[in-house]
Amino acid sequence: MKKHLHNIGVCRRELLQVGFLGALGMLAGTPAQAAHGGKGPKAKSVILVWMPGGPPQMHLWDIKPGSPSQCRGTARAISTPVAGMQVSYQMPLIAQQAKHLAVVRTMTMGQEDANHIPGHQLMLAGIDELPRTFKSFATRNDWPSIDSVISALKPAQKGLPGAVHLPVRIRFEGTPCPGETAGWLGAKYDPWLIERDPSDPKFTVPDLLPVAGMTIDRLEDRQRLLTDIDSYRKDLDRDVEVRQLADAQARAFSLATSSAVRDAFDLSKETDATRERYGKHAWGQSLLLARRLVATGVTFLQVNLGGLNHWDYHDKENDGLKRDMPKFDQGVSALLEDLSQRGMLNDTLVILMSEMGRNPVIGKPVTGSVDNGARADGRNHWQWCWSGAFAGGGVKGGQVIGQTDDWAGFANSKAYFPSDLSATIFEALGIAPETDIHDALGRPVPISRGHVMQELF
Amino acid sequence: MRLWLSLLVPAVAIVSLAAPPAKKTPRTGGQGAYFKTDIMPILTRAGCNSGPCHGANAGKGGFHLSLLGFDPQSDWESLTRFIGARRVRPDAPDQSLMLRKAIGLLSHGGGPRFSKESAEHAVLKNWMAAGVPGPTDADPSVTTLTVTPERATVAVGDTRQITVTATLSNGKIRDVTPQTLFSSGDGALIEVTPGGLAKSLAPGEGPVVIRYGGKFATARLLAPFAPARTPQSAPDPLDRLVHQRLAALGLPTSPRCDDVTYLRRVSLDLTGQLPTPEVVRAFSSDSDTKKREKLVDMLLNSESYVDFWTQRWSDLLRSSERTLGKKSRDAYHGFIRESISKNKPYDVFVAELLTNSGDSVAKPAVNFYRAGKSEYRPALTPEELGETTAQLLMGVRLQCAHCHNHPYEKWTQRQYYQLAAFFGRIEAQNKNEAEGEIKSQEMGEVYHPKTGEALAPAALDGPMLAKDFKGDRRAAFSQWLTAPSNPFFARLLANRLWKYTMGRGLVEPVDDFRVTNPATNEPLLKALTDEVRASGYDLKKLLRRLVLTQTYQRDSRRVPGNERDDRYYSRFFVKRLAAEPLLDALSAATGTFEKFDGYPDGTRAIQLKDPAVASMFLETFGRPPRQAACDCERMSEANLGQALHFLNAPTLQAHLSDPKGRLAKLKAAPPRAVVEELYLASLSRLPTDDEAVNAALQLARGTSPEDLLWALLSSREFGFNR
Repeated sequence: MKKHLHNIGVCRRELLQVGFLGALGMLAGTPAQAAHGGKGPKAKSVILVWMPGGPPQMHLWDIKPGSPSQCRGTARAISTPVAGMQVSYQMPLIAQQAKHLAVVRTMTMGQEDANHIPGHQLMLAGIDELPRTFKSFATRNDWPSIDSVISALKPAQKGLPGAVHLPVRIRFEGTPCPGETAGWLGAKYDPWLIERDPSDPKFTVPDLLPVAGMTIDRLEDRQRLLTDIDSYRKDLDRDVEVRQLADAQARAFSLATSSAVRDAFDLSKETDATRERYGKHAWGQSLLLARRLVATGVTFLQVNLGGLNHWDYHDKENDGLKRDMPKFDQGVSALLEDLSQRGMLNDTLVILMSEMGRNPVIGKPVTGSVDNGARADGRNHWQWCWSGAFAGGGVKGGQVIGQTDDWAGFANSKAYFPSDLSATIFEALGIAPETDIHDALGRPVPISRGHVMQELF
Repeated sequence: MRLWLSLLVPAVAIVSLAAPPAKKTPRTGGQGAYFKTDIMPILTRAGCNSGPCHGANAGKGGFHLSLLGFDPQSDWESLTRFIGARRVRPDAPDQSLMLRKAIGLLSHGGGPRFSKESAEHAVLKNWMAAGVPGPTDADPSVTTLTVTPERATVAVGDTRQITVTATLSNGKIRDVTPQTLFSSGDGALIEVTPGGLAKSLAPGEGPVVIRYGGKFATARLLAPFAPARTPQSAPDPLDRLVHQRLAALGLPTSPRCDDVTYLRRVSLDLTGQLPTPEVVRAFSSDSDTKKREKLVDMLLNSESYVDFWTQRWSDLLRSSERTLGKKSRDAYHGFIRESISKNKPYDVFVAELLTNSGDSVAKPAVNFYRAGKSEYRPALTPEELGETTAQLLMGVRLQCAHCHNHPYEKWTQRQYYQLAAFFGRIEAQNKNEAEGEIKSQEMGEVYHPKTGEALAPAALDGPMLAKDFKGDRRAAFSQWLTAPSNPFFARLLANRLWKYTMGRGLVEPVDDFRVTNPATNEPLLKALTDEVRASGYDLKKLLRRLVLTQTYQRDSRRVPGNERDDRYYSRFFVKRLAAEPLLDALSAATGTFEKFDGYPDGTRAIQLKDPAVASMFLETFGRPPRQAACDCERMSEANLGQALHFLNAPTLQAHLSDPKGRLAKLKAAPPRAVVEELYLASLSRLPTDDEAVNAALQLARGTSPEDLLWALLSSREFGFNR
């Protein structure tokens, strides 16, 4: 893992903004309303379809039929109903949804290889430099994820979680990685991470449903007993840590007793045809669950299509694509079609994204490295330039944004940094990206330093 | 600017690659402006070389400066050599990019930084007109910073102007306030303007961090909570120092806590275990005036003490099967456990970790060099070892200096690699998956990444080893580290032990000592550090005296006047039970045990050797993965997943309804007896009369005892040590 320990948050701009509220790393206050070019926010919720490991952009969204074979590989483009818009032949169903999609071909981190774990911290938090306290595993010093900031600034309705991640957590050798927690913003705003496969017939959300024999009435009885006991040391509630426990308990209780949430997680309420359309695998059913949760009022869904290195094709690129693309095509196309048919796409921003792309040249080592992580049939990491796609939530579909060079390796037009992604998501939800939150040292920092990707809207 | 950067992405890389080697001797100044002491501070103060701006590793907008100006020579070159030298214009300073961007005449991603009328502008303009003299060895440097006032007592809301005077190496003294970078060291207590006007925001002592010319200092404004009072007397010198601080701040103290509170508190802090109901009853009725002392001695001599502190040190020393292999992990765990069990002096323990050689099973202490390594490597790298020893054994976070001088401390990149050089001659190999070998050898150098110079080992603020030193460099380091004159070693242990008992370190984070992060009570930290040395690093002796202080024995309830104190120890600060003690407490209260794979029935969570033992509970409650030598690995904050776990986890319900558990044994007992027993088993106290009557009534009306016990286990009182 490459080391990178950089500070964020001492830029002059912030030092000039005095007036800390200083409440122990808590929040600044109410978010400023986003301007959005006068059009007003469009999205009520976000579904982030996350592709960890970094799929090859030249095989999905940025096909270069004219490039040499070391770049092109086995990629082939097919046309879509949108004139001039082409995607991979491995996405025939997604191609049919092209009118909803704005493909962005020039995502960048301004470097070749920051690696996966830093890449996750940067992209999922929407920041351009690693915090000084960055570690290769999740700690409370991590920069808060975009969705945790949303949970903090746009609290979910009572009894609902602000953000949910499915069906796996991003881990390295079993240890959770940065990017999926609220970090220093506080555990209160952590997304709810559900590490279960919804396509499993025995799927249940851990700890959501009362144990066998437990009724809601009895849970409420227990709650009353607890209130009585806690009244003896009411003074403890003045401690921040105690309040965090009390908050978490209150939210857990309202979740566990809310029939809306229980129903949302109950996939048996869907027809078999719908379940088949999404695909009876972890990805498809998670995407279906995402739609159900969004309909219930959850603001942010992150569906992790695999673990940390899932799309990380250092070798056997074609095998990887054959394994992953059909499920991806099926699930994502179903989600777009379904949201659109239900009239939910206008206020649901769907993002297909990863923390990196792949080296334009098959088998090429990372620049300057003696240790070649790519085999002859795979590609190394590439964070100079890669692709993602957006739909819904006011995004103008049927367009391609950004041009790349002949190898899909560098941007030939404006490129977008992780901070631009966070700015765009916040803006779409009506939260001004320049809104301040207070970091662990009480310093006000803007929730995003990026620019809204106006071309999308 | 962003657009620029994206278009120039490949170009930026080329520009920085093409930076010429720093050879040509720069000219010296004619106008009296020195690059290092006049020009660089302007760049720092205006934020130009800050991390998010041009100080970023890749620069910004194709223009790179060293972070906070640690490399004047390369900054001078960046300013004067690239893009056709348009950044500076000796012939026409007003036409230079530097000045036009800085005053807002040209579009600048960072916006205007100062005005055309400012002193900064004038200095830079003169400097350009004088032919942009660069840094030379003859330039004066800053020797000391003098801050006025260094300390002041104010009222909340009051402001004080801080002035900074620099003494230069040429003997000159000058007011550098306008060029100094001020920032708040504690945003909850104090704020400061760019000009150095500090304002107290809340009662307490707030530090202002001061940076100029590579030197650091602090100024502190103390705003009392109430008018100062006379310090409370106390026989213990540590208590007296706490009281002096409290008196100056006008904080009253909470009274001494009652016996059962003390029993629960000290049992959890020393052994990670709850007292049993029998022990609670016996302790309450014991009339011995020395019963707290007796209790502490009993706890310190218990097996649970050994288990609990073995786990704590194993966390910090990163004992894990995944990196060490099972046989080596077992050996390392055994070594740590034996050291705790024998109460081995801490300095001896550390010296053994640092200086052993041999096989990782036969000589388990050598695993210090292997713990936390990446999978295929036989040991940590010299750089990793420098960082680890600095943080774990000295409380110095040196990581920043890997790539550049530390932005918040005096440590330079050179010092980083000089420290690493102590570990540059380790010969390491993997013998098999579970075993390796560590030896000292006579070859191996650590090089300065910028100059390529092979560096002789040098301790932080300490002596340098002779170039021709032939002995074991690790032994030399260990000797320096554990010597009585070492400023770091005992101080960090003092702070750790204080935090582990009192709930909050005198310095927080506990291993982040910096001039810019002062202790909340410096005389106290010093006195305790002296005691650590005087005790011969006797951990038990030190813990014993700490938990018998008045400070430790105070009630956690607030009294009028100390409600807002969260750092001066006017009351006992509550702490959340960590994952393992919490699980053990839960098992103890329910009279059951949790089954762990590969461990015999009845094994407690604090006895587990490895962070990888499967346990949904321990993972949910933030057990550390043992990858970094840092207390920060433990995530102790409550979150939704934890609360849901308590609410609905089948495993918790299984504990409650275990047919061999406590509740099963209480089936025939009358309600009042059930209530008393459950309170004792979980909260380690008897219920008040009201509580007892209320709960017994509920039971009589049909509430299940399971539900009562569930509520007790979910309560704030149970989840915290208070």
